Amino acid sequence: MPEPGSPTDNDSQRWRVPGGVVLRRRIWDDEGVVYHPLSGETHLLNVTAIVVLDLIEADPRSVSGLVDALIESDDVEEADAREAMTDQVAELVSHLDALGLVEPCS
Amino acid sequence: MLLDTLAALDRPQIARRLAGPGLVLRLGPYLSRIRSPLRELVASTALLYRNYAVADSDRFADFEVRVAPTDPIRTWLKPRIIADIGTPAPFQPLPAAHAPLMLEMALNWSMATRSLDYLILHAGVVERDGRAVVIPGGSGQGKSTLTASLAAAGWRYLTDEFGIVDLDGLDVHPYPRPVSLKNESIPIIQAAAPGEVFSAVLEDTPKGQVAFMAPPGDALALADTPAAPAMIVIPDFTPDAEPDVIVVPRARAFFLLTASSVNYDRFGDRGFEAVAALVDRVPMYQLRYPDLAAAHAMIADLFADL
Repeated sequence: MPEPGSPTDNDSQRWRVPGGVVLRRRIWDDEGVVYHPLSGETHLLNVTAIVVLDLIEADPRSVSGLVDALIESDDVEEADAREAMTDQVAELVSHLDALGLVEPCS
Repeated sequence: MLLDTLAALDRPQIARRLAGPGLVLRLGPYLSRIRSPLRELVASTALLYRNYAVADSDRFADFEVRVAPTDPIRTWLKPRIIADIGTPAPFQPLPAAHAPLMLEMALNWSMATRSLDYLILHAGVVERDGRAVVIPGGSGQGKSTLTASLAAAGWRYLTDEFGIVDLDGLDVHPYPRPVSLKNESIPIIQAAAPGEVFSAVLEDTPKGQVAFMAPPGDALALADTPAAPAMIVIPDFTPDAEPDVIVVPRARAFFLLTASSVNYDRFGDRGFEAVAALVDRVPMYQLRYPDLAAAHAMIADLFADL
């Protein structure tokens, strides 16, 4: 299991929203807020982070799975985007992990 | 049974209640029982709370505040006083002459830490035509001065300390308390509101000079009349600055509101939804102004465009 907050490039590691938690969120323009009922904390996130959180909440995914979903939803050129996006999404997931919004799962 | 106002009691009666069973005043939606043996508190209470509803001393009160000497024996040698609200609080002893300030701090602390009926924002609030302007801000950021000056200019004063927001309907309920003025804002507001009632100036308090203005205008007559929040203004008094209005992005507005709330984190999901609904409904502006006249002009323009 990676350390919370540390970037992960483990392609097979999947991530989920901690069990039993219903994250509340609201998006305005290109930013949003997410409320974590267990910690009682509210987080300010950009819209990409919230989209990633939505994907993970809908279905536990690995970083590569998230990249696939983002490429599909954004209709971007896969060859150009995949490498850069993988690093960015991995960092984003680590950030969400550090905030307690996601956790690794098998 | 509620009497009309504290004005129905003379000073000896007020002193006896304070020193005995307590003076029960209605402050916003709550009853607070104030007890104190300090003669320093009698005159200021009679002056500043003259138009507040007062209840019989045997009534249940939501909050209990006692302001008394730290050492009941040494009342003759530079006595120092402190407030007791029944729960731990971070009050530091003050000279007896500062008893009115101690009372206000204790009442505020009680409200901030113990009310769970409303979302409480650290904010001034004024109203016109049923629509409220909410002015969040910490101590020293110009919140009270701007709020008091707007009240002096004809806006209805709801509070200069706590905007108390109904979690469901989002109306702001009045919490009209004596306006707390500090240092250079004291002569400014005294000049702007010559018909209002001011306390003596307390010198050398931890906040410098402090004076209180009794709730101005018809604030107490309309103490049961809430207002719908129409805009939120973050005051940024900057001498020599050009007047400027910045629209605060809504996600940032959400954070500024939660940061200004004293009890947001106690409501869980319900608090999140209430603040989100407030942000959906009410625009937030940051106002940079070099003087109060500029602030008033900007607020009037924004208000007219709502």
